[in-house]
Amino acid sequence: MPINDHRGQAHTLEALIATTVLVTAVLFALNAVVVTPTASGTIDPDTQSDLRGQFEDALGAAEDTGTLTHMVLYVDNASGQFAGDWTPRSGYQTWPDARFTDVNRTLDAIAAEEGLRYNLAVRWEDEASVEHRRWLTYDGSPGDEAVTATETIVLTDDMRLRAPDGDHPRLDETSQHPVDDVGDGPVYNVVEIRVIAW
Amino acid sequence: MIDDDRGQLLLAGAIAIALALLGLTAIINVVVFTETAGGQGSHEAVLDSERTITELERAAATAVAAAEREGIDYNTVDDALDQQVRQRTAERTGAYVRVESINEGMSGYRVNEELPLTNDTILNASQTNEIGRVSLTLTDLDGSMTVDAGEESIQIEEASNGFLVDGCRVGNDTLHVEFARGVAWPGDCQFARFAGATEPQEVTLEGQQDASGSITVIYDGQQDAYTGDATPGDIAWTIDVSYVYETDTVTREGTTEVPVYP
Repeated sequence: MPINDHRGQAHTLEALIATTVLVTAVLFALNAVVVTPTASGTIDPDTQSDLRGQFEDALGAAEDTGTLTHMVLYVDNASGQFAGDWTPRSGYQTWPDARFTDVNRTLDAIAAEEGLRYNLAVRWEDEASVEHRRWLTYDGSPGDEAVTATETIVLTDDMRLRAPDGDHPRLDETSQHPVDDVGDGPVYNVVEIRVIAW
Repeated sequence: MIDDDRGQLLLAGAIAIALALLGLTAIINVVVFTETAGGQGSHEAVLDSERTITELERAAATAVAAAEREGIDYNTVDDALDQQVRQRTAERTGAYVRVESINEGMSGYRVNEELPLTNDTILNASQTNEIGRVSLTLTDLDGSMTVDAGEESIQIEEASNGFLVDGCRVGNDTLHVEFARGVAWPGDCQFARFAGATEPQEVTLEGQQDASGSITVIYDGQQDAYTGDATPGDIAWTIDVSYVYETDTVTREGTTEVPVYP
């Protein structure tokens, strides 16, 4: 009888161990499936947070010298489009001046560290709260876990268009700037500069 | 046989204990990760609030400066700004942001003079602490002129179909120069910024007798430091911006003194 008792206990323990090993293997496999997307091109949460901070700092530093505002005002009064080598589909193919180049050099450097691509957009709303967007640069369709960073800037009625050629009317004296006048008093509109990196 | 069975039982028991320890380690690991992730989330939420409030302050300063240029009571700015900023922030971060009020803090003054001036020196700033902004608009220039703000000076020359600002070609019919930001447009020229002076300082325009346009200078301090012809106007050198910022995890309410002409 003692012999059978010991063998029975041993079999029970073996069964428990086998079960534990199998369950652990299944859990490990499931965990691997969850991790897999991160390893195939998306960005882990820590890096996302760091990148977002870096992009937002870069945008904030650019606006400290009024450069983002300058970019939004860089519109040709004749065409009502961004001046220079710009198309609605792709944004700028080449940067029109040194201030654009400086901002994008900084953004390029941040993105390059993680091997990312990015789009840069201007977003605003019209009086009916319909959202509009223009690409300053467009490098493709973002992935599922893209990082976004934004900087909000205020346009005021007395700011003038800044394209090198043509007229340079105040924002409230032209209907050619794509951003709509929705603000009361001196506020023309509040626009958002957004980086989407993936 | 008895010894063999006991040995097998002991082995199986040891493996079971080892697996239990491994499982415990995994559980502890998950708990630590969860704590870290949770902490990171709240850290992110605080950073978000910092960024949003900084943007709000900058937006308020921009709007107040524009209101003063336009001669509009800037107390009306907070409503317009409140609505716009609240909407944008809610869409972007889910945060509720309200501009409670914008009030004048420290005062300064602005002068706007047409060129040519009767006196080349438009500021002898014995009672002025800082120059906030120097903006020049030129519509015509014969020869060259120099804008000198003590440590920095910028030379502007006439050129065919435009102007040269420190050798950089810019403008067409009209040239705009922001000295405090070190930029000129239309087009793009950048140069050393006229940083705010901490010592008494003069702004002198040599050669401006042959120029047409206007210059606007914003000062901190007392109006009697001004030696030019125009009548100075009061401006808000700083504003006190009161705000409320609320999310599920962060609530901030306060008043910040913001420089309008940083």
